[in-house]
Formats: sequence, C-alpha cells, structure tokens
Amino acid sequence: MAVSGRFVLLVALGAVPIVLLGQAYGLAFEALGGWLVLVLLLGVLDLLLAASPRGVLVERDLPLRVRLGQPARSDLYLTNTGRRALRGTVRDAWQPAAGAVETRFALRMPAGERRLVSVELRPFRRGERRVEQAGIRSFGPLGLWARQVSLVAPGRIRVLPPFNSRRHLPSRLARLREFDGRTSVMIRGQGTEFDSLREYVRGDDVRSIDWRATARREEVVVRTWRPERDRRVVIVIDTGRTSAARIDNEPRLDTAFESALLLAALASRAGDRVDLIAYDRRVRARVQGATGPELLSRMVDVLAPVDPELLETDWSAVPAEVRTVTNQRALVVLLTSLETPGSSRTLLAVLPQLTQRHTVLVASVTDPATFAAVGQRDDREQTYTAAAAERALLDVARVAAAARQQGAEVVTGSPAELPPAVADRYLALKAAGRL
Amino acid sequence: MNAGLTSKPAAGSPAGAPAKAATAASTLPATASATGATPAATPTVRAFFRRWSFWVGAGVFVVLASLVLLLIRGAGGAGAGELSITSAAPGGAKAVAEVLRGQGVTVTAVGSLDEAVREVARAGGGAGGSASDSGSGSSGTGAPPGTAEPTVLVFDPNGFLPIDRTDDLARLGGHLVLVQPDIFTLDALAPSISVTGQVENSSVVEAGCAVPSAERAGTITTSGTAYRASGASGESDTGNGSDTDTDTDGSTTTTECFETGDGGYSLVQAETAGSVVTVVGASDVLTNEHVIEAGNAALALGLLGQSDELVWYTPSESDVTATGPPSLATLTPGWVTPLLLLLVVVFLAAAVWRGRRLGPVVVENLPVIVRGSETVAGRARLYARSNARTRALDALRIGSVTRMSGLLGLPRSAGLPEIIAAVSARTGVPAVEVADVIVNRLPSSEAELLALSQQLAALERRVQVAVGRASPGGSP
Repeated sequence: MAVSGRFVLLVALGAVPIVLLGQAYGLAFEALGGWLVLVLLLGVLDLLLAASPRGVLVERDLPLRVRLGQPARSDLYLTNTGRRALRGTVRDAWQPAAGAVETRFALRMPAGERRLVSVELRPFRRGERRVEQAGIRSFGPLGLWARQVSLVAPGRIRVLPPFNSRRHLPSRLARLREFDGRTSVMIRGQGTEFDSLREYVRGDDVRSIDWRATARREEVVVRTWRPERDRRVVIVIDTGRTSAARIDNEPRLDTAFESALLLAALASRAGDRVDLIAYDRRVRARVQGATGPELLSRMVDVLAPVDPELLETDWSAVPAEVRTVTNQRALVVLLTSLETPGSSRTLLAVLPQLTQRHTVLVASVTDPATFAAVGQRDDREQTYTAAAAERALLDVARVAAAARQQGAEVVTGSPAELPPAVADRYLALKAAGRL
Repeated sequence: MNAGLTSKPAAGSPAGAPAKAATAASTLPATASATGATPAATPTVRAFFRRWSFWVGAGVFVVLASLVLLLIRGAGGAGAGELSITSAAPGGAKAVAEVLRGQGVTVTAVGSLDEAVREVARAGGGAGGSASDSGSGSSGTGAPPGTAEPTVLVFDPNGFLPIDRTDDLARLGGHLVLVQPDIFTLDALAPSISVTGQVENSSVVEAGCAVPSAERAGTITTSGTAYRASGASGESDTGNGSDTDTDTDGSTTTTECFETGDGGYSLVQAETAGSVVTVVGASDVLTNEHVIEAGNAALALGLLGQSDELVWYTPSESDVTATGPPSLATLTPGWVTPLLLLLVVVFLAAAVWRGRRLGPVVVENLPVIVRGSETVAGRARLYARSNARTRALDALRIGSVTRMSGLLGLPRSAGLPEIIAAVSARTGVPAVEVADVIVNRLPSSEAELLALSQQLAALERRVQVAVGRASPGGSP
C-alpha cells in the first residue's frame, strides 16, 4: 500500500481540533486519539474501495532496435479487467540507461477499458536495455490510501552502436572508385587485376600500352586495371581489460566498433568479404559470411551488447580463431591497444604466426591528452607529467616498432581519427595490391 | 508492509493463474476482452504471510516475551529499592518485615512525610488500645514502658527527607530508628549524635552497652557508617565505649554500642524526655543478605518490634518541594504535547508518502570507468614523489631528440653527435649549447629541471620553425 500527500495533509489538519478542544475543554489528548482513529478509518475505507491493480492486463509494443542517440517509443497498453474504475499512477520501470524521459503517468481507467501509455526513450548507452515490471498504484475514491502491485511485463530494446564514423564513408568510397580504371603508372604492384583495354588518350603512361592489342587494331590501346576483389578481411576486436579505458570520454572498445563498422562498410562496397570476431578469452561476438547490407546490420546487432571484460586478452588463441574464419590469405585487422611492452607482450609473441599467412594491421587508440601533456612544461607538476607522457609515447613507439618488425602494419590515432585512419590504411593496402 | 493491503483476494482475477495473453515485446496488444491478467511480482497478503509466517511469528513472540518480561521485572522493580520491605533481593529488607508481621507487628511502608505523619497519627490513636491485647508485638523482649506510639524507621539514602519541615518531623513521634542518616538528618532529629566516618571492614563486634535490644543481640556485623555521641559527651571516651552520659542542659542521655574502632559506633541511642532516637549505622543488620549473621536479626527485631506498629518511612521524590519560578511544563498549554505527537505522526506519514517506491529498484550493470590517462598521471606522481629528475629529463630528451631527428630527416640510426651537429646547423644555436641541453647537463635541483625542460621544448620549437613544420608556439 501507499499513502498520498492528501492523507498527510489530512493528518496534519488534526492540529485544528487538537488546539481548539485543548484550549476550550482540555481534551487535547482525546482529540488526538479521535482524529487518528478517524483518519485511519478513512484510509482503510479508501483502501477497501480502491480497484485492484492485479486486474490490470499489461501489454507492450516497442521496437527491437534503436541506434544510440536516436529516440524510441515504448508503448504500454493497460486494460482494466476488474469491476471498478481504476484511478492512480503507473510506472514503467525502465533501466536508467534506457533514458526514459518520463516513467510515471497518471491513470484513469473505467472498468473494462484500455489505455495507452507511451514512454519516450532516449538511450544514452549502447547495449541491451530492459524493463521487467510495471508498477501500478490504485487510489480509492478519497485519494488517501492506495493499493500497489508490480506487474511482470518484460521488454527489451537493443541499443546499437551509433556508427558516427559513417560520415567518413562517402569520401573513402570516392577514393575507392578512383582506383578503378587506373593505369599501372598510378598503381603499382602485383595484386591489381587486369580490367579492360581501351583507347590510348594523351596522358596515359606509354608503358601501359598493350602492343599486341594495338597490333590487332588500328589505334593504340592501353590496358587498364582495377583493384583486386573478393579478398578476405578479418576484423578482430580486443574486448579485454585494456579496451575498457576511456579516452576522450569514449571507451577504447567503442572506438574499435566505429573503426570496424567503417572498415566493414568500405570493404563490403569494395567487394571484399568481411568477417568479425570480438574476443578476449572467448568469443564474445562473431559475424561470419554476411554480405552486402546485411553485414552492417548484423555487425551492429551483434556488437551492441558487448562490453569490455576485466581480464587479460588471450592472444595465443587468436590465430586459431582466424583460421576458423578463413584459410586464405586475408587482411587481419587487430583493433586493440598498444601501450607498454609489458601489456603487449603476448600480442607481439603471436604476431609472427599471423603475419606469416596474412597481412596484419594493428590499430590502437592513442590519448590526445598525452600528446597535449608533452608540451606543457610551465611548472614542476607539469614537467613531471610531460616526462611521464613522453615515456608513455616512447613505450607506444617501441611497441609499434616491435610490431612493425614482426611484419604488421600499425595505425594509431585519437578516438576521432582512428576510424578514418584505419579505412585509409585499408585503401592504401588495397591500392598497393597487398591484400 | 508493502504487500500489506494491496491485494484483496476477491479482486478480479487469480493472481497465480498463467497469463494467456502473451506480453512479449513484439506481439500486438490483445483486445480488452482478453482473459487472464498479467502476473504480479508483488505477493498477495496471503502469500506474504505464508512466506514470512515464521518471521512474523518470531517477531510477535519476541514482542510478547519482552512485554511479559517487562511486566515481571517491573513488578519486582517497583519495590526493589534498598531496604525495601517488598524486595526479596539481597539488599532488600523483606525478611525482617515479614518476621515482624509474623510477630503481629503491623509494618506499613510509606514514601512521603505526609503519609508517614498520617500513619503515625492513625497508629498512635488506634494502637493505644490494641497494644495490650496481643502482647506478642514486642515478642517477649520486654517492651519499654509507655510505647503506645509506633516505631518509625527512617531510611533516606538519597537525602530526600525534608528537614526544614520541623513541625511534621516532630509529629513522627518519639520512637525513631534512623538507618544510616546523613548529618543533616542528624541535625534535625538527633542533634546530640554525629557522624564519625565510614566503616571499611566488616567485622563482628560486641555490644558492650546497656541498650536492651543490643545487649540481647550480643554481637552484630558492622557496616555502613559509624556514629558517636557528640558535643558535651567528651568524657564518654574515657570508658570502654559503653558508658551512658547525660547532658546537663537538654537532659539527653546518649548510649553508644558496637564500637567499630576510631571512636565510632554502629548504634547510638539518644533519649530525651521519653523520646528515643536510635541511630543504626550498620544498615546490613536489616538486609536480607546479612540479617542472619551474628546477632543482626535479634538487634533488628528488638529495635523495630518494640511497638505494635512500625512505619517504614523511605523518603522519595514526593518529599521534595519545588521552589523557584514555575517550570516550562507548567506554563505550556495542554495541547502542545498532543500537537507534537501529531507532528510525529505527520512526519511518519510524509515519510511513507515520499519514500514509498512504485515498484522495486531497477538494477543495471554499469560500465567500468577507467580513464586512459591514469597511468600517465600515476607515473608523473611517482616521478615527483621520488624526485626522479634525471629519469624524467631522460624521457623528455629521448622524445625530443627522436622527434627532432625525424624533422631533420636524419636516419633512425643517426647517433647523437650527428643529431647535435644537424640541429646546431639548422637553428644556428652553438653545438655546445645544443649538446648541453640535449645530453650533457644534469639537473641538480627542481628549478634546473624546469629550466632544462623548457630549453629543450624551445629548441624543439626552433627546429620545427626552421624546418617549416610549425609556426612558433605550436605544440610538439
């Protein structure tokens, strides 16, 4: 049960009879007792006359997914199956991170009628947001005491990663198209594929003239090339403890998601096949064999509930995981963090196994605050901080150098820069035919 | 409480019945005529009590048991004071009182002087006729003649006795037994007797005096306070402590019995013109615990059983009269206390109103928040705490040198001398100075460290400007 503010006011009004009777007849204690009994009787009467909230039928209608940063609407249909009119409050008990704008609604339902309660959700964190119960408080006709029940009405909504980096996609796709039809002067390497023959125009490299074809025709013909297609890209996202660190108020893991989504969008447009593994000591998420528009939707769906685990990533099992995805040569993108030689030792130990078979790209988020700290040397504190930041950068440089020595490509950048940087490196590798 | 009254079983649908209408997120809402209700997480009243029956029962039991205990203890505690005639505790005096009653003495306990005076007046009026018929009131001890008036025992450990009400005190009659009186009481009731001190060690002493009941008792155990006859009785010490002297001015005869040493006595009797005041210092004589030792019982019965009536007067708070200005309580109107109680109730109701949740707290896993710059900050504090100047400067120098060599286009394998030469050539700073900043000087104080690090930054900026990679003042 619950009481209302009206009840509290009613109890407080007892001061009037107490003072009046006490002043006039000295019956203050009697007045107090009488008033309390009266108020209690009224409350019990109210409670007995209140409609039962147990007779309410609750149904939900809400979208399955919403992208982080966009609002969603959760509909709650309430049906009063009891015999009395219900007057009270309903609370839709969403988790706080679901960002319900308002959770309590006044309710007035005659017997047998149905009401719709719409809750606007503005989720502020990625993942699965749930609601388990709807609380209903039913006041009696006097509005003093209420019956209250929590009804089981589960619901869930999946909040997808925002994919803010998709704004970089058009420019990268444009650059991808530029590769098409390039002659060999612009694009060197064994990996480019022969595309077609076309007429020579001024400006084409004479070295790309196909003399045999020219001999067959009456004009000069050049060969054109297009980027290779149908390569494999395997994205491995490290969900271990280092990915929990927040840089620029964004966890490393979310930056990794952004990078993975941009890369996947780009690579699938470029005709490559993208697979994804999120791994720490076991596989937290996996997308395999999805193509076209399905790829991105499956990726965001699978990645949405993945959170950093507070344990050390077991890199030694990663080559085997990659092998389960593909046996071909592939571009393996490791989205992790390169921080100190100590924490990256296991990664560095495994890299040769990967670089032997695949092209490996290691992408790591760096903290722009560290770069900023290096330049601040105005007092003692700042100098020591600058020294520590410099040491951290040197550590990163050492680890990156070690990774390069093992044959991996290394990309670092701040949370805002990393996704386009990874995409650019992918384009560069593709242009160089190294996939 | 939450389940409390929320569910009247008669209200509509059976709560436990399985809901037929699915409430899954994706299903479209059913029509209003759907049967069955949504299951409730809140238990019904019946389920609540079934689930918590043990604890509810245990709670009720504990409350009842403590109430019963309180009643029992309260009944015993009402008369549980020291030397109370209703107390069977070691410190009570129920034994003496009961034995006296068995011998036909009417023992009346009173708590205030008014009551005591009333009792004395009543007994003095009525006992005069009845004293002769029983004869057992003095239990064959040979009651002193003319003792129709009742014996009054005064025991006042808290000093509540209103000694300024001399008229009323005088009406207590001429047969007083003062148990461990303080000096104020002595001043008022027995001015010829004074306190000598506390009796530290309990011992058995001989009476050695001519008071009949003391003589009959023979020996008692000493305790409490010691007294002596005061003032003009200087010559009493010359004897063996059992002498009887008579004051010439007030014709008061004091008798001292049961010497406790140091000139003190456990019993001193003063007799003035027919009224007898007996001061008993050894209060243990009367207690349940010690009454059976030595001749304690004989002394107690002898002293208190001389008359058919015994008024056992223990002054209490009601003897204390209030003085001074009227207190706050008498000035406040009678409705203030009920109003305060009402406010308490209002407060409780408001607490329930505001504090009652509509459903349970919703739980959610929160993400771990680890700031990425924590390692840098931690390392900086470590450097600062241990004054690791050289180490800090080393880090700064290696970073700067690496960046400068990159800016100048030197190979990775370039040695320091080459870098110094290149920097000097590009910026125009003398090579010695560059070498000083880059390697040679060691900081011996914090100020030097600061200066060196700033010079290093300045040098790096000059290289950047010289190479054309940055405007002056840009970050490294």
